[in-house]
Amino acid sequence: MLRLGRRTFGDDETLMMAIVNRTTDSFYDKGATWQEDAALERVRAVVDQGAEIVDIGGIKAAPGVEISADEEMRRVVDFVAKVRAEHPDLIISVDTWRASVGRAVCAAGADLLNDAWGGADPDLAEVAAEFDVGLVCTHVGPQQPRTRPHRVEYADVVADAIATTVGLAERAVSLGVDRDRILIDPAHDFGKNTWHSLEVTRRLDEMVATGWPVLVSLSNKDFVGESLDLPVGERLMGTLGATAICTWHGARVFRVHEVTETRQVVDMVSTIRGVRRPSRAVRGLA
Amino acid sequence: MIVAGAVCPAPPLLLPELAGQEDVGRELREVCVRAVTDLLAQRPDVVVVVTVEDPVRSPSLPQRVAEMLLSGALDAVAAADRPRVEHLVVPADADTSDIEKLAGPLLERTDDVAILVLAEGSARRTEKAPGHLDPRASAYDEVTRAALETPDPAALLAQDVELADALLAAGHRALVLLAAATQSAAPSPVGDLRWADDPFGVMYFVVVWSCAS
Repeated sequence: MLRLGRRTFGDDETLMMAIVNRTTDSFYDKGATWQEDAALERVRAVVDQGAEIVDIGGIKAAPGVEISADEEMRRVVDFVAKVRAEHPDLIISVDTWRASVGRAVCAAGADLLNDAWGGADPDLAEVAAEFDVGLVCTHVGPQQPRTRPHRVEYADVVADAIATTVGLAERAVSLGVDRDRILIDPAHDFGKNTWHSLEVTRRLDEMVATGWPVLVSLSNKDFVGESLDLPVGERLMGTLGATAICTWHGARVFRVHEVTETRQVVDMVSTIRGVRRPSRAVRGLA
Repeated sequence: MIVAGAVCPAPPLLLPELAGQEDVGRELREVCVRAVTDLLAQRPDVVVVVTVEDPVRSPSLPQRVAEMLLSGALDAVAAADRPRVEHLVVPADADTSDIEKLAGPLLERTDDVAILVLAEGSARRTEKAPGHLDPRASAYDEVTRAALETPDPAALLAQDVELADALLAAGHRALVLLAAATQSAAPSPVGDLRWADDPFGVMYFVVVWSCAS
């Protein structure tokens, strides 16, 4: 069982987590939702497309101008409150590694803390426990927030990802986070070269086998671009290919830019897996 | 003696395990279960399920559909009052005279018998139908519909078995057996046609015949 916000999901249900950036410089949207009105419109659009979760971020992942905790809060806290007011049942996630920001967004109505930098601030899990919200436990290897991987080595990247994420999840439970509100994320591209991300994708079933629900964040990332020699903006089909494999292995939550396309692929693969019925079945059966 | 008969279709989409999220067979299934429930309300000692032989799979699709429908209808009958269920399988290549011979022993039974037939009309009613359009389908189905509604066993017996095969009218030989078993019934059966429609290009009939006075 997975519980996020007010909602409970069965073991075979998949969820779309739509990315909403309150940044000027994120790699894919390049500031398209920096303005609050545009960001609110983006939330409305992805809700209409069927996204169960929005993941709001105030800092781009890549290196760049330093964003203080105060500035990060200015970007996301009031916005979370407005989204909460407009969409009472929407699951609101905030992508942050800072406990101070986590505390402020939880007070504003967030349901899930997406700790995309893998426990860089160990107090973030305590905030999740304090507010009884969810937590994404992420593998970033040796990487620090807002740095790029450089010559990262693993004896076994999947084993490392499992050990790290399960360790973070168990720690969160020990701090009082509801076990049913925890996800693990291998974090493609984070602390990984393209070969690592491909191996994590190919062996995602091993993470699923831990029993913790797995979130994947594949959307338009460099491992897709390098696999296909395609720039940002031309990676949708590659992203969907990786999405299909992760769905086949049992991933539960998909952090995405394109909700409609991803939902179709996830539903199709889930139907092939036999964990989702066809929408309609008449052909050859009348 | 034969106390009642019922005809239900047996498309796979009636089986709940083959339904999609939108259960397109739900309404038809409910009509069929009510028909079988009414068949059982005649308090037969035995229900004889009549299907046409399937050389590929056993139990056949019509037998699986019959089992599903009976299961739903028997739930409403007290355990002590539940009839026995027997199966009568008509050979796939039987002609009308073969079928009349097969029906003979039913006429001689001393217990109260209800006949449940799994059969359909043509699967060639439209261009989008499973068997594509055959212009003869509508007239063929209309004869069957009228014969089931009246009821008119003689009209069912007169239907051309080879034409039925050409029109992909599954279970036609089972219908012929019902007709053969009731053609001499006195008084004549009373018909109650519950369904006659072709939502997917296949003609489905649901009917209940009451035979005993």
